[in-house]
Amino acid sequence: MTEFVRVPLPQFGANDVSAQILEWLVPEGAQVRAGEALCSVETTKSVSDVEAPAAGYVVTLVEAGASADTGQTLAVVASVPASREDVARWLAEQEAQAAAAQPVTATTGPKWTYKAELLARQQGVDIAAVPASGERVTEADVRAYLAGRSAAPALAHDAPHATSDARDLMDDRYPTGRVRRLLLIGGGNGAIQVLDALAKIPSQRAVAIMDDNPALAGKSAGGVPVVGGIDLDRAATMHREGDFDAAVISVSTSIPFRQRIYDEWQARGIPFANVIHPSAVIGANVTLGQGNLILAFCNISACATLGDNNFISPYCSIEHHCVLGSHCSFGPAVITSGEVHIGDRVRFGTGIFIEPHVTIGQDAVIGSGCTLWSNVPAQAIVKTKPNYVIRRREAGA
Amino acid sequence: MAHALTSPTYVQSLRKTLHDVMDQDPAVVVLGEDILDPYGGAFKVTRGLSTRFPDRVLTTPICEGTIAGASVGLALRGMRPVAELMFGDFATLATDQIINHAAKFPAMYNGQVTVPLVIRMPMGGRRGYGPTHSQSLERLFVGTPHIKVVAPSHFHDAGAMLRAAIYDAEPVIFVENKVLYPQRLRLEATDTLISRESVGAPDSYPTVVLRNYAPTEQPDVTVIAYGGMSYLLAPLMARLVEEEIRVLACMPGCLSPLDETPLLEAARATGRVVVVEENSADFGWGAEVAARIYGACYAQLRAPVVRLGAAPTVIPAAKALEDAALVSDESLLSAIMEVLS
Repeated sequence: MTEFVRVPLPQFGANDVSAQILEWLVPEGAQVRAGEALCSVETTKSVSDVEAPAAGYVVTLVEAGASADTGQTLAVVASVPASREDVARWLAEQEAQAAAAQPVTATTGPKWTYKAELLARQQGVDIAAVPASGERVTEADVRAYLAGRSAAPALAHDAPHATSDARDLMDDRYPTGRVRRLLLIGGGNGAIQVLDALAKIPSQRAVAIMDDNPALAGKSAGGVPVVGGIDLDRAATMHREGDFDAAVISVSTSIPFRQRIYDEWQARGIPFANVIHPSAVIGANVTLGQGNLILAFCNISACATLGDNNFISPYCSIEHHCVLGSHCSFGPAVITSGEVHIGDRVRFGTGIFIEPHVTIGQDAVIGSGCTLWSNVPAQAIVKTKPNYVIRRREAGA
Repeated sequence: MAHALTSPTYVQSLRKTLHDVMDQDPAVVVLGEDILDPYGGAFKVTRGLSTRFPDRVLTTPICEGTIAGASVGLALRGMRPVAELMFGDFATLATDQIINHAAKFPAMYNGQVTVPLVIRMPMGGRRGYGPTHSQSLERLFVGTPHIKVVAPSHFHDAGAMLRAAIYDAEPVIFVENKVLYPQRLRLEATDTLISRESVGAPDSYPTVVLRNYAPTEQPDVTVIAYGGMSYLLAPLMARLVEEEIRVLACMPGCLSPLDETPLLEAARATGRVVVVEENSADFGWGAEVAARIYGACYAQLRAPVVRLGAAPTVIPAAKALEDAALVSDESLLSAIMEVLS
C-alpha cells in the first residue's frame, strides 16, 4: 500500500504566520532522499529551505510564487510515484477520519455537568446516586433529586433553599470574623426596628426570620425571608450547618417569651448577638452580655453593666455605674441617673426618669411618665397618677 | 458564522484606523522602529502607511527613550503623534519621558500645554519570544496620574478605541496583546454561545460584558479581565455552557483610571469573582480591582475574590515552560471552580 507523508510549512520565526514559496528545488514527481531540500521559502526575515521528511516521490500542492500559511501542506512525499489525484484522495480520507474521530473523544467526559457536581457537593449528595434525565446529570436533575428527598421531615430545613431569596442559607460559608449572619426570632414591628438598625451595621446582617404567624411564611421583610415558625430543632440544625452565626429576639412586648426563648436556645448552644445602632453611644468600661438590642440614640455611659437579652428602645440613657439585669424591656426615653440598680425582667414604659442610687427589684413594672425618687421593691407595679388635680383655682383669680 | 468571515481582524482594525486618521488629519504622525514598508512593523499594524504618507511616518533608531521624547515634543507643538514600541517590554526605556514628562507637563505648565500622545505597546506572551519580549508591562503605568492605560480585547472595537486614544487630550498607553492580532473582532451582540454588551463610554473606551447564558438566567460567577485574556476566556465560556456554569465576564477597555461601576455591578450579580490578568497577580491590576470590590461589595460577596495571573517569575522561551508559567484555560477554569466551591 502506498504511504504518504505530508510536508508542512515550518514555523521559521516566532513572528511568522505565513511565507512565500520562492521556488521548487526538485521537479514534480522527483524521487528524493529524506532530508533533501525540496523548496526555498521567504519569511519576513530570511530565506530558508524546506526538507523532505521522508524518502519517496514528491507531489507538490503549492505553486512557486504563492504564499502559504504556517503548517499548510506544501507537498506530499509518496512511497511510490503518485498523481495529484491520488494525493487529493488520501488527504480527503485523512480529513474524514479526523472528523469522525472528533465526537468520540467529546463524549468521554464525566457523566455530570460541573454545575451538578458543585450543587451535589454543597448539598451533601452523592452525585453518582442522582439519575440523569438526559445524557448527563444536570443541575435540574440534582434539584429534582433534592426535592424528592426533602419531603422527609428530618430535612425540612432544605425547604428555603429552593427559593432564590434565601440563597445565603444555601451556600454561604463565611469564615469567622467576617459579616455575622443573624437569625431574627419574631417578624413583627420589633423585627422592623432590628432590620433598620442592621441595615446601618456593616458587620452584621439578617439572613432569616422565624415567626409563628403562618400568614408570614414565605414572605420577606427588607429582603430577609421568613423561613417558617419558631423551631428550635430546625434552628439548631441551621446553626450547626453554618446557615447563621447568632440569633436575636426582636419581640419587645412579652418578657416571658423573651426569657423562655433565650434560655432554651442558649441551652442548645445557639449564641445571641448584641445589635447596637450606630447612633448609640457606648462609654468606656461598659460591660455587655449578649442578645441585647440597643436602638437609635441610646446612651450607655461609662462603667455601666448590662446583662443579657435586654430590649432598649430609642433615646434611652443608662448612666454611669448603673447595673442592669437581664430580659428587661425599655420603652423610648427611659433616663436613669448614675448608679441605678435594675433587676431582671423589669418592664419600663415611655418617658421615665430615675434618680441616682435608686434600686428597682426584679419583675417590677414601671409605667410611662414615672419619676422614681426612691427604691422600688420586686414585683411592684408603679404608676403615676394620671391628670392628678392638686386644687382648683378660685374663680376670677 | 457570517460575521466571523466578514469582521476585520484586530490588526486590520488598528491598521485601518491609522490609515483613516492619517488621511483625514495632517496633525497625525506615526513613528517607531522598522515601521516603513515593505517590512511595515514587526506586527504589520503600520503596513502601507509609509507608502501613502511618506513624510509623516518616521522610522527611528532603536531607542525607545528617543521615540517617547520626540513624541512628547511633537505633541507639545500641536501634532498628534502615534508612537509604536516594537515590543512593550522596552517601555522601561521610555518610562522617564512618559511618567515625568508627558503626564506632568500640563500641570507643570499651568494648563497651557497638552500632550495628546499615544504610545502603542504590543504586550503579552504565548509566542515563544522569551523573557524580554513576552511581558505585560502595563503594570508599570497603571495608577500613574494623568496617563490612561487602554487595552482592547478582541471583543472591543480596537480601531475605534485607537481613534479615541489619538484624540484623547491626555497621554494614552495603548496595549495590544500580540495573540490578538490575527483574531477576528467579535462585535456582534450575540453569536451561538456568547452574548456581548458594550457598557459606558461608547466614544472612548467602553467596558465589554460577555455572558454565556440567557438574559433570564442568573449568572454563577463573575470574571473580570482585560485585553489578551479574551483569547482564553471566549473558548472557555463557550465550553462552560455544556457544564451549566454561567459566566458573567466584564472587560474594561481602560485599565487606569478605572470605571469601576460596571465591575462592581457584575461582582454584586454573583458575589463570586475571579480577577484574571496576564501579569503575575502579585501587586497587580487585579489586586486593585479586588480591593475596590471588597470596599464596595463586601457584604454581597459569597467567597473571597480569587486573583489569577502568571507565575511570579521570568517568562521562559520554551513553549511548554512558557505555557506553564502563564495563565491557561485550565488554570482559569480551576479558579472559577474554586470560587464556586
